[in-house]
Amino acid sequence: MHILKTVGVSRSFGKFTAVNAVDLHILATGIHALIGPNGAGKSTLLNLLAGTLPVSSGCIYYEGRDVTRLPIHARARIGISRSYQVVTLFAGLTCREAMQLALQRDLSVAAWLSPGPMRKVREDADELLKAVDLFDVAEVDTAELSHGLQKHLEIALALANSSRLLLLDEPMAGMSISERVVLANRVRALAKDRAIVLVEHDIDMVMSLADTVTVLHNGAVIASGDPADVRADSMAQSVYLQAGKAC
Amino acid sequence: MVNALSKSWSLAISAVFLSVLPLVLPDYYLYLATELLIWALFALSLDLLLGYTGLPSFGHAIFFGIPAYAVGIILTAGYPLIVALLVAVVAASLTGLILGYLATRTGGIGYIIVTLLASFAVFLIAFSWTNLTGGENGLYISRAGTLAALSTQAAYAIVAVSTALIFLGARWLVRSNYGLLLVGIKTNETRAQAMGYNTQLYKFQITIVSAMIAGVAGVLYALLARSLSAELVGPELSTEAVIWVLLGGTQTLLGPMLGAALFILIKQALNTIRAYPIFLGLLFIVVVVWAPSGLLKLPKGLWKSFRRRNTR
Repeated sequence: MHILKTVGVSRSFGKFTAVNAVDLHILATGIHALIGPNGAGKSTLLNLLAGTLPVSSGCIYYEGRDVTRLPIHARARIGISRSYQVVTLFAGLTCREAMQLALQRDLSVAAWLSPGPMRKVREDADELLKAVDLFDVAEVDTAELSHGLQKHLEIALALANSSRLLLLDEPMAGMSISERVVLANRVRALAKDRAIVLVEHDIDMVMSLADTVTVLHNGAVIASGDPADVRADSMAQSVYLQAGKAC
Repeated sequence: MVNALSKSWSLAISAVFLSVLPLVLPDYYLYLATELLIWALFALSLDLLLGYTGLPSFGHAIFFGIPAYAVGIILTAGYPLIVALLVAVVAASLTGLILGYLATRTGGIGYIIVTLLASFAVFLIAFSWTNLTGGENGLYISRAGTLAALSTQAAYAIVAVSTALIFLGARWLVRSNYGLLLVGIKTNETRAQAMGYNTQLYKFQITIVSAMIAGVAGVLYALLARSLSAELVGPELSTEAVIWVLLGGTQTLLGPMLGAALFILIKQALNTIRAYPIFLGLLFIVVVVWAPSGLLKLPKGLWKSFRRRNTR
């Protein structure tokens, strides 16, 4: 069962085609990694899926529905969440407040203004922070967290509204080896009941983590399949060897 | 805990201060205090946009002046006060809708330019449409049916109660989850959108709320001062209001209100000196350098550094 399909999705910036007629099939569960050398169009493709950028041509279907023209906030409401390559959370807000912000989304404006629901959102935020081991820093400004904790919180925020498709843009970037292992395990666990699309440079990490790998080169898909098949593909090999050097 | 306590203390002190004023102040100063409360209310409305939502409105006088003119024009045409008030409400909402729609479609610098240019445009219209606004000569509202027909104490009471109620409402708003979203939009709009918030919509909504509050201030001003000129919608008042908010401390509600009162008092005290804007400029520089979060947060900052020195 596919949760997301793209049909001939392209994106150009002036004369430069960053993403070129990409057909992508994302399963409802598991990790789908997008790899390729710098400038292959991985991040652009992720932005097209999230709605951060509009497509130049092609269509995006989410759960059978055409979402091509849906703005980012509307896509978020139907279950598409994303993380950013550079984590910038809400400077000036505490972790608890950021979590409340994520949780209160589906309530009405009237509920935002009423003491009862406000208390409930706060309690739920604390529950969720406890569940992801962030309760100790509930009162801390999100901008003052360590890089690892920020990434951790970012994913917790993206999941607060039980999203079914999680788009992660280089989640491992800037992390220590031990932090990477923790995050990889968490992503692995999350992928059991939702779809995760991952853009990642660390080829070894991707090959051990992903269920499906799509290799992009100059904006186009040159190979797609399970990691073993992609590894055997001669064309993909030449590209990701190049990428391996770049890292 | 200490924070919450000091906050309710400052509320109690403000309430006592406002109730004692009419008992101790002679009429002239009480009138001045009434006017300061109106400007404080105007500053509060701007803090909702500038301080809480990060919308740099440089045309805020429009929201103050247009409803003020609406009341003036309708009263001068001989209609009763209630009609004038209704027209003012319509004028305030229309202004909020139109300018809010135009301005929130742009972000950052664009927002500043749209609002500032709108203020220039409305100023020119008010200045040149002599039949409607009195143009250069201004518009004078006759005394009957205005706040000026009441005793100074009664006028003060009406303005003080309106200001206090609106302040409490605004305080409730910014402390609610709605206020949390506003601050979220200010600090990271892109992420707020990625979370599923149509930030455009909420920026539009708060612009209208802010316009309505500024409109109340404008109407009270028209009914108290009874003399309206194009400056009330112009860029000078608009930018001065931004300074009040920055001076008192953004995102505090009370700070901008105090900032407005302080700025106007200093301006009045100094206006016998020709070069008085220099002193206001110096004050502003002092605040920006030594109390960048505004005067309201200055005591807290000093107290912190004092305690740090003592515990060392």
